[in-house]
Amino acid sequence: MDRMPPAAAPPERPPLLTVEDLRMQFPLPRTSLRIGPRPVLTAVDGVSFAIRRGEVFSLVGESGSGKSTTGRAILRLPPPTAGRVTFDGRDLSQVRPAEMRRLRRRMQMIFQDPLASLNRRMTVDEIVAEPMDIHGLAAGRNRAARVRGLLERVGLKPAWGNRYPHEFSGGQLQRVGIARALAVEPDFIVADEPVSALDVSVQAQVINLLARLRRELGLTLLLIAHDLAVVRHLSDRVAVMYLGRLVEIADCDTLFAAPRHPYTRALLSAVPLPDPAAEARRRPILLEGEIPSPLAPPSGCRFRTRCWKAQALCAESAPTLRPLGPGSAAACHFPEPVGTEAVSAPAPPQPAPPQPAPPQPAPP
Amino acid sequence: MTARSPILAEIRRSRITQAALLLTVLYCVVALAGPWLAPHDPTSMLAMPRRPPSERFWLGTDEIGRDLLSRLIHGARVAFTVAFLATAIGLLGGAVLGLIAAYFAGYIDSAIMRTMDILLAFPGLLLALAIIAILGPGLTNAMIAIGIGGIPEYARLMRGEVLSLLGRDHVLAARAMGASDLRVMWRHLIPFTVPTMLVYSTSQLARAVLTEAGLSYLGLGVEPPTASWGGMIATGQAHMLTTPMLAIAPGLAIMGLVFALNMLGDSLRDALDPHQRPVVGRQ
Repeated sequence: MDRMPPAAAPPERPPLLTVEDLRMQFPLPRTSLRIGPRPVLTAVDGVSFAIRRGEVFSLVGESGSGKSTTGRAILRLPPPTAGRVTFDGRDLSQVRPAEMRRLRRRMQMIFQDPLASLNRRMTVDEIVAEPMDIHGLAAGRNRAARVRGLLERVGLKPAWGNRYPHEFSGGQLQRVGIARALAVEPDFIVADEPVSALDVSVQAQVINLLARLRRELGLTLLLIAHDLAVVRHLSDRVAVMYLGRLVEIADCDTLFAAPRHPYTRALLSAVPLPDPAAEARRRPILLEGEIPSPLAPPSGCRFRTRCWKAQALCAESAPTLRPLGPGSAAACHFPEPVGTEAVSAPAPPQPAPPQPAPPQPAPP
Repeated sequence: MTARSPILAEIRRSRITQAALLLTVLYCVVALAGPWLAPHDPTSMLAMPRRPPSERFWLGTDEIGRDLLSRLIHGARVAFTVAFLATAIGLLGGAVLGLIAAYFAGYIDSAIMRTMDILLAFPGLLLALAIIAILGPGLTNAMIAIGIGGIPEYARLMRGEVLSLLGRDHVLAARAMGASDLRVMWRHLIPFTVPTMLVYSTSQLARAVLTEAGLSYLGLGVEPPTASWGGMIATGQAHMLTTPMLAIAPGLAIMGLVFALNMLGDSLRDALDPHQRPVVGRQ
């Protein structure tokens, strides 16, 4: 896929993070004795975007679309196969390993499964203090005070610091994970499905916590999620991935109000609406079949095998991401016209209820 | 570890564990307190050879008139020293090599693990013999030989454990934080391998006792006047028809210790090994 200019109008300051033509391939084990190159799985295929300071940028897509792999490749866990990631003006592929370790202080990660991502043989205090220890940020009384402050900030009792992860609930553990990410005052956080492993009732609390921290600390966040309600509530801009490629990138409101790529439209139409009247009018677009195997992606546009608008051109040439309006770009030969019938997008969740209204209503 | 130890629970649950523990403790006491427990000096000739048991010599005297019981007791010291130190050598060597192989992967992994495969191709006793042929006989060299013989198994076990851990999120999280390789290994990998490695080492103690007895039987372990069970069987078997006690007593001593250590290893595995235990529900 070609380079693409950032979808929206250029910001006054250079973006904090730019990703150019990112590609992530995994060699697979040979399945036969045949001589030749090993089969290669291309999980991310030429993804480009830029994230501004203080922005929440979301990557959405089905499982297998490459969104998590993209998030990890940005942090070089593991490093991408090709493409360039520039963080605060520095090309990360050119940074030496020792320097990269220091740079990691400024870029942290929040994981999907909070229990698995915390070392169960360390206490919560130790877990939260570890990034500070690694980067030599605080010691002694200062360190203990900082840990206490962090735990309070994410809504945990500092007295719980000497407990082990298995003594906490999923939501509490995710708060520990967030406190750990905040411990080094990072500029940039990759949140990889931060709430999808949590109970629906707890999801809202953690989302609200992220929203509050973002307000208070001015965090720049790359949010990876498949739950569109979560994305809509938190994001400034959204990029939609399908089979390793970006199909649409737009300002959050624009995307939800007027999706231009058929896949985005199908995704949005699948979300039930809280308003019964609107829900009754909702006509979900049912996509045929499964997401194709990334080992043998379709020619041309990767979505064409499931697209109701596909034509001969779609099989011949891959559409590139092109600007279609203010703050919006899509990779489609036949984009949806602006003002397509009111797209049924989920309403944002109720603003910050103390006790959770589930962010996503149960399907009927 | 949790407050309610799985080891204590296993001891409470199983009679066999209790028996094995009792027997092992008994051997330990004998080995530790040997010099004070033994009624006589194990290397002086105190009476006529091959005397039957008597009030002065509870198990009789050996082929040159030394007290058999005192020699048995001192033999326990040798057996324990060799077993523990050889196991420690194998554990440390194997764990370090396995960790490095798994962590750094690629050529380093191949180089280490193929070398281990070569070592594994030799039967344990034969490998120990070959090493002793190079180093020369003696207690220390026997320990080193037995220890080296154990390294490949530990290395393979450790490599497998670490490989499975490397895919876990908490290790990824540590790397994302900017942790150095040493910190990742020390804080996020090694602690998780301890139960498995400990369980395996316990079962290897018995193997080390047997190998040491075998080497001493062949005259390649402990040098003669010092008492060792293997050596005692070797000299005692010539008198099997007239004074069977000379070979049978050390044989029983070896059997009892190996049995106890094996049972203890099994119990420890039942109690600790995360692979064999159902996942305990989280509160």
